Amino acid sequence: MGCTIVSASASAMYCYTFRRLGRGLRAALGRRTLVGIFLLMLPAAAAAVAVPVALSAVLAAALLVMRFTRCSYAAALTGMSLTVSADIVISGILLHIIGTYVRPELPGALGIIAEILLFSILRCTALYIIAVASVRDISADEYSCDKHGLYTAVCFCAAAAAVMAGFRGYSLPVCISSALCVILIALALYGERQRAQLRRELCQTQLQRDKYGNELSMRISNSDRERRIHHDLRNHISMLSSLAVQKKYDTLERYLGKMMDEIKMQRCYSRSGNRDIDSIINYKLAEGNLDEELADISVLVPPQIAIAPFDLDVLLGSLLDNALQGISEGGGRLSLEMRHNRGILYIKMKTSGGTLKDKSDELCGEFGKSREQSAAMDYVDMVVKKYHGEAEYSNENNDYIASIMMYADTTQ
Amino acid sequence: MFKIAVCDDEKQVRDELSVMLNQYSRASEIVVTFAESSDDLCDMLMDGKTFDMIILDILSGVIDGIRLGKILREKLKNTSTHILYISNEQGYAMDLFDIRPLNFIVKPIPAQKLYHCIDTAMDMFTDNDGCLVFNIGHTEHMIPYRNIRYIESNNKQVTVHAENDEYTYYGRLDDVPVSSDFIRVHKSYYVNRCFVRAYRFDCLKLDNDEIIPISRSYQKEVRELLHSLAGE
Repeated sequence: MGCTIVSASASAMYCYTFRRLGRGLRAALGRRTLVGIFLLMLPAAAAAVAVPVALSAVLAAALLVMRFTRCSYAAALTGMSLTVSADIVISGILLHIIGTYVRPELPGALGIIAEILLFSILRCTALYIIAVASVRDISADEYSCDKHGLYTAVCFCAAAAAVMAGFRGYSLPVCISSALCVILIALALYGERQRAQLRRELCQTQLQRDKYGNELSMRISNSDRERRIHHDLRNHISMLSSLAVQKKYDTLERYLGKMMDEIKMQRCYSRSGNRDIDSIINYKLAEGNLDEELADISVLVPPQIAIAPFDLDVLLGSLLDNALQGISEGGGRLSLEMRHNRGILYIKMKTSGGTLKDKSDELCGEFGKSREQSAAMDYVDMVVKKYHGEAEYSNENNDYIASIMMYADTTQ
Repeated sequence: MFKIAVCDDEKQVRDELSVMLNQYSRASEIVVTFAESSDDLCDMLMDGKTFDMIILDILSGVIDGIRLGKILREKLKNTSTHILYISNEQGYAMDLFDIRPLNFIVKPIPAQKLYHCIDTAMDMFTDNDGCLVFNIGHTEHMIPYRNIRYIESNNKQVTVHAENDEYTYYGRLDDVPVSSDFIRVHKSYYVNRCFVRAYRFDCLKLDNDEIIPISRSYQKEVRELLHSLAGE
């Protein structure tokens, strides 16, 4: 009975702490690999003397559930199984080595303290390498431990350590090091999450700053040109009038042509009044050096819509990057229609052109069958999903169409 | 016949629209009235003249197009006339939200886009032209679909929420025949799209500020439908 309570507590503790970790591991290694690792480690864990039978039963049941269901806890159980199994094997080896070579050399209390410290440090290090370092690069929220996970892990840990300490057969070093391990790993994951969040915010700020900077420089440049034209207008008119009087029509035509070139504003593809959307479109298309005649841009959206600028950047940036890549190498046309109607944002982007056929493989990768391979389109899907929307991609007669709807209220 | 009013203070635009409407493939099904300013059109509406669709310049006359739209919707309580705004400016006026326009076209008006808008309005007009027929006691009621805001079922009773009244009779919502303008958003609700002011993924807001929930099981269906309609 005691063993069962201890095992259940330990399982719950591991499960909660490593739930998110399990998803990270699954993403990093794949489900099959993890199941394979667990199956390899299970006999080793079962063979270890200190393993209560109940714990093995819980782990086996967890594996069974994971095998036959697609519930979100499956990955958590996998992570837990892997970590617990590794922990058991590592603990057994460490305790054997320390008990044989370290403790007999030191007298009484000093020996106990040295055993606890040494065992805790080595065990924590090993588990840190297995559980945290392997998913260190995965910085998305769902892969790390959140604040509630941390608190719960600490509570579970303290309770489990207290329960375990009350039973014979469990040495004090194991109890204390278990508590330290879980706290350390939870803290490390929590720290990783905080750092990831900070990195994301920094990235978002940087993007925003770049975008507004580009927009501003574009506007300043346009404004300077307009001012110069207005300033010289009187001179230009008198010159034109003089040429007309002298019937020098060829010169007049050339002069007018020069004026037109001067007046021609820097490319401005979108003037919807929504600063975020305009700046993304104008910047991307100007950067892609797209001829205005090849771009049919129709944006009809309110000045403010409830979509985070970062998400708009990701969404429009990815769509435009893909389209421009195809157009620049294939020489096609771009058509972008954005409309906001009754709380819904509709986006329809079409790239078309005869020579796009040469790029069919890549473009199909973006909009067609093997779309999963295109990371950019995955980002688009992610944003669309966040706003409860829907995206469709089609490829008809050499026209590649991305059609998107998203719920986006207005913010007045 | 489908009655269209065209209102623009620029003669050139009116002439262009006249040519386009004459060349429209369904020209024989429409009757067009021209107004030189929104003040003139406002007078016509105040005199009781009705139109199925108004092609309206945003800046036309003392009463601008948005104000005229508000008069039509709020003062004259007309929710069935479709308004197609035309403007020289690309910028979006926030006030347009309350008027629920059919569309917004920037001048110069592309003929295909104009025809598409008229097609949409005519199709909606045809679909929504019928009536919902039901009995309360021994009395037969006929309510035009275009006047029904939403239909609700509760405890084996069906309540028809029309613009000016409510009718309750015994029946099941599944047995209620509706036009294509109605969308099922909940096991207990059919909503007329023409009265929707704003959509959210989990609810929709009607023109009278009522909120109708979209149940989880219908969210995907509603999303797909709205995507396929693409803002019509």
